[in-house]
Amino acid sequence: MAERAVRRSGSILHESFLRHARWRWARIASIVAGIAILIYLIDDPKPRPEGDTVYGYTLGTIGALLILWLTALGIRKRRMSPGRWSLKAWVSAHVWLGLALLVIATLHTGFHFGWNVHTLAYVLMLGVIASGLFGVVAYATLPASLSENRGELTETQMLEALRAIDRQIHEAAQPLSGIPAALVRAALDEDVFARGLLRRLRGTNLHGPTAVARAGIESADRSAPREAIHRLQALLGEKQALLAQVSRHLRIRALLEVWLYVHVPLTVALLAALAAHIVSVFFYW
Amino acid sequence: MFVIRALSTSATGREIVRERRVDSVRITVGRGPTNDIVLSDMDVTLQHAVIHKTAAHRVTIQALAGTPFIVDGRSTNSASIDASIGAEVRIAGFRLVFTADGEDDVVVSVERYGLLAPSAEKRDERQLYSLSGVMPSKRWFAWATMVAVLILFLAWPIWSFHHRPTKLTPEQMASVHHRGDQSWSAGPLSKAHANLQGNCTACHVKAFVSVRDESCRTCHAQVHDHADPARLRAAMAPKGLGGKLQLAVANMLNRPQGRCIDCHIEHQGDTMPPTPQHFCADCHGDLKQKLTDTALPNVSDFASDHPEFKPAVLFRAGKDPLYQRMSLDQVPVQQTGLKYPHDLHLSATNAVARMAQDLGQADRAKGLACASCHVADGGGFRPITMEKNCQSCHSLAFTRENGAVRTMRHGDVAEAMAQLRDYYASHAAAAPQGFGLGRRRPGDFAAASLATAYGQSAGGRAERAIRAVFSPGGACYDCHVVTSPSQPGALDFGIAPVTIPDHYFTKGWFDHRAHAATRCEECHSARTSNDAHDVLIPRIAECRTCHSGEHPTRKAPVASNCAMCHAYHNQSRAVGAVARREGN
Repeated sequence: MAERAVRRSGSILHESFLRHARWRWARIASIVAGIAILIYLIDDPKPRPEGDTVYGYTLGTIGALLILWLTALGIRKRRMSPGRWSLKAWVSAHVWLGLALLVIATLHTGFHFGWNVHTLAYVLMLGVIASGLFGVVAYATLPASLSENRGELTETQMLEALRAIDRQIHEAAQPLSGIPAALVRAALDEDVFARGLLRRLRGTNLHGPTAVARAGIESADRSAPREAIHRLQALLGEKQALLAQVSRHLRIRALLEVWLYVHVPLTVALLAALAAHIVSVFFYW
Repeated sequence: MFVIRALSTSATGREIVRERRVDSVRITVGRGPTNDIVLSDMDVTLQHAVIHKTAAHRVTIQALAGTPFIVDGRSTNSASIDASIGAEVRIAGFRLVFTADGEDDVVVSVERYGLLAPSAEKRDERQLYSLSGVMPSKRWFAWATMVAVLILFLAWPIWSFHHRPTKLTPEQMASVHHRGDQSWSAGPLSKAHANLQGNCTACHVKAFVSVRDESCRTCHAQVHDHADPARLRAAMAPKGLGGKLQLAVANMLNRPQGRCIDCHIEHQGDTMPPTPQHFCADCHGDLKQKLTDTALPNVSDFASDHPEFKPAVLFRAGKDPLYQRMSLDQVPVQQTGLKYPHDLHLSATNAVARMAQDLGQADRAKGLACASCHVADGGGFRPITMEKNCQSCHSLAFTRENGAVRTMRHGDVAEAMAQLRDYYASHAAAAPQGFGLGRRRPGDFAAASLATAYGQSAGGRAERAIRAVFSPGGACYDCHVVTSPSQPGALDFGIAPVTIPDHYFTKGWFDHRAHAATRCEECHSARTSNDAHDVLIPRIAECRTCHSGEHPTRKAPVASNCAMCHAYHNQSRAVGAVARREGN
């Protein structure tokens, strides 16, 4: 899953955030979770394990503080390198301690759920952790496919290439009229960037206007100038390939970002539910 | 004439103007290169429109391929234009502005304002490739959910609390109120409190103040303390640093010790869980150290730390009975006022068994069973009575006269004596007739014994009969403890009170229903008991073969905490027993 650290002449060029400092945070998180489970198994509160026991309150306090710290990543990543920790160390700790939170909060519930604000907070936390896991997998696997798909092109160059092809198509299509002209018009209007979330996630559109124009332009009007038609076919083919590449690029970019649209709002909702949970417990003490 | 002025912008933003004159009254507009005005846009047809000059500064414009254009904002296929007033015609991405020049000329300024494709548009690349361009902002999502959660789960419940009804009738209490604070409930209440489910403030009276006993006492007015409050406090004092720390934290958080809800834990579903053992063991585990003058032994767990049972046995019967709790280790004896050997009655082979078989009270080859006399009733048994349980064998009939059977009165010594006197006063016969000399029959016990004893007695006939029934072999004597006459020769025999115990335990209870699957003799050694004084309740070791302490073990799988047998509030055994029998 994690990108392998590439060693070249003895120095580490890249180490993924998951493996940061030889899995330091993975180890710390496992130890924390292990201890929490062990105490849970040894502790025998009556009538049953719950948030309302000594250990339950302890886990609840740890969990709440952990949530606040995990949320602080949103602040940390907007600031340039303050303090001793690199952003990678923060992300590494964020991911692994976030997973440990799953254990801590679950034990805090004592597996006691209901239709109430307490379980709401827990479910929101599960949503945050699940979306976070998606993000971890995305960050660990997708950048490789992103650069593979992109080849030597930068995003700016992709845009330039699209412009250049569109100009050429436009110019080549000047002698056309009727249906062939309309087909080219539609192909020129095809805009991969205008697609919404779902279509971006779906990726390449094999039946888009450019593909349709390329396939239909020759047979649409036999009287159209042949030379222009043939040139256009070649150009439309080029545009089709470029669109496919850009679509894949956009799809991977979307996958890298979409989880944050769940992760961030749910985190904020979780903070609100957590506040309500804590206030309610002490309000009806 | 027409002046066509083409306006364009260089890459550096400089405006370029190219002008030419067309000496014609008719000019064409279209994408085709042969047109006078060439509009290279794919939305423009090859021959799109034609412009005619009709008079000085006046022109008409007409669409050729039926594709409309826009004149001063209105879509049309033809229009007449006065160039001296001016007009703007839009065709696809081009703007044609008509103005007058000189006396006669019409100037057409042609300028591209649209883009030839979306890709030509100058766009913010960061937005373009990121989802932020096509998604509502995360911040908006976040704020919306946060506000929703805070309103629904924090503001509304608090509002609910402050707008609660101050006084509720029982009917109102029973009806569930769907109020904002319902979402705060940690779990359903027990069945007994189900009517309070929608009414949080019935118990949670003050904000940030834990539930107090006063709330419980609103309904539970009769419940009394377990012991003297001062002694309770002394016994509850926590031991060890951990306990003291916990108490300090609890006090700091305004959670005083010893409240009702410490033991009666709510929000755990339909059934309120039995009080956890540590609530008892915390005090009773080392009670002797905390209350040095206590008579109670230390007890912390049924399996490992519980004394032998101490049944309350009757020492002295009568008006002022004297009970004494004695450990089973001391082999206590119970005064019953009876001579009842269990072994004799439970034999499968002796005369009792045969009699029971003959009377249809026992199956062939079997004797009486425990249930023949001990009829289950709730968690205990119905009382044993002569009429129901003894008489079918131990008949008190003593003679038959003209087909009628005469039976001695049971339960009234004076009346029974009077019966005998009456009988002998009116009969000249020397001995009761009809039974005594004839063949013995089941149920003829009294007659037979009377006849036998009668022959051995001295005195008047009635006196001899009375003496006979109260003497060894007599009908009364053989079952009851008989008190001797006040002086030798007197006839004021008495019967000791019959005191078959209903229960032995005063500090705990036992429910036979829970043990219905167990045979009686597994716990009670009645088959080997030949003395009515034997206390036949099993020893604690017997119970421990199934009952563990708080934690079940493989050998003794029935987890048994204190509350299984002991009550906290009700010190009276009777109340506990009744409660159990009623199935509460």
